[in-house]
Amino acid sequence: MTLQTANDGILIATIAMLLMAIFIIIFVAYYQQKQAQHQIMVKELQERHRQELMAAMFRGQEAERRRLAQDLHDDIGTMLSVAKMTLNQLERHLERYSPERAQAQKTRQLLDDTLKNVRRISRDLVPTTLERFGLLAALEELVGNANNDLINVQLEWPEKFDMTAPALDVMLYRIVQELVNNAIRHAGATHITIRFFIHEKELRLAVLDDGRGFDIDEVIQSKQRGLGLRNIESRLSVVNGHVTFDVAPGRGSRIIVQIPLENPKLVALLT
Amino acid sequence: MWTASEMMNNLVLFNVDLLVRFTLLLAMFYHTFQYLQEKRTVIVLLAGFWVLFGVDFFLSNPTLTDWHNHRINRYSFVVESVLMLGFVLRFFLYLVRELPVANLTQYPLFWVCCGLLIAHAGTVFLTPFMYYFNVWNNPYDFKTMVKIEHWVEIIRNMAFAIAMGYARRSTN
Repeated sequence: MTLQTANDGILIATIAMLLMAIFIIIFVAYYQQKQAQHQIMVKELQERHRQELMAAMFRGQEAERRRLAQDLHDDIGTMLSVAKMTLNQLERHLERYSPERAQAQKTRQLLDDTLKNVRRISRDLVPTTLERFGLLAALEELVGNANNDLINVQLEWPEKFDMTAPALDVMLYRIVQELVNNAIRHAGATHITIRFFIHEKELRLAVLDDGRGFDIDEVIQSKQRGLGLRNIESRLSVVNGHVTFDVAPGRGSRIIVQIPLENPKLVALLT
Repeated sequence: MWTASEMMNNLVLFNVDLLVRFTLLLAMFYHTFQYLQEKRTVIVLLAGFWVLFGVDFFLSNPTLTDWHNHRINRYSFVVESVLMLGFVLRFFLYLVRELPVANLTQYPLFWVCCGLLIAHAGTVFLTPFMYYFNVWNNPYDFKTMVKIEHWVEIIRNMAFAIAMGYARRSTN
């Protein structure tokens, strides 16, 4: 074999190798890009599916609450009312100032308290005002119920604010309910402000209080205590919204909820 | 230091460069591969290559004191090319299977491996003859092959430069 033949042979083999190398590089780049796009698409689908599941879960939760509230009101409430009426009739047959009559009066008082509690629980489960008169009326009722001699809750509502979608109203109501409850029960707040406003194509809800605050990391890590806050985040994830906690132990809290108004999921919710 | 411009044989540096280069590139693959089995393979192959290099060095240069007629290793360059092609193909398989990045063209290691693949694909058939041609005062006879070797080395260095650019951008 001459040197020239060897040279030609090596040259051809090298060119073949180089072509193969270029083909491999192009193939890897093309295939990887295609796979990456496919993976992004799968992730988007999974996210959409998760959001739909969440939405369905919250819808189911609301339906279950409604059923419970109806059962409480119609069955237990009615039975308690009948029991109270029967007790009233029985009380009439008892001698005045007798120990039996005093016992009956005490039982009636207990029945009254139980009826009140049943009504309260039923109202909390399904705020009928929300369904009948909308979010503003329901929030005003919530604020009215929370206000007392020690606690002052204020609601700031913008003049031009016509967001009327039952699903969104329920979501916002539940979030406000959770945050106000937390401020009163856990932070011991005496002044709470609920503020709704539109900012840069975003619906914003701010709940401010003068309570003793809390450590957000500790609460989120705690399975029991962080449930409410995680629930808020889950509700917001359905509409691509998010919540910011400006909180720390020893000072008032500032919790801001942001919901983008120009997002297709919200539009779907609103329609 | 011996240099060609001073009419002194500097092929020993060429040999040492092979060892350093191969060690550094295998260290890169060691850090890139995820599985323990692959990491072990890299270490075993590196150790094996060091042994091969030492043996090859002595076999290619029976008279170590004769620096003027020092030759490059006979088999080490071939083994390096084959191993490197294997590692690059394994890395590409990893890229396709594991999808470590969304945008491949901005992934520094992709460019490094492209450079290595082109460089070694372009020289793998030339390396068995390098021992015979890289002898002091002996000119290269495979002129086209030498040109190809130079071109693929230029391409490899350009790919390395792109990789360094992206690596720098990602660390900033």
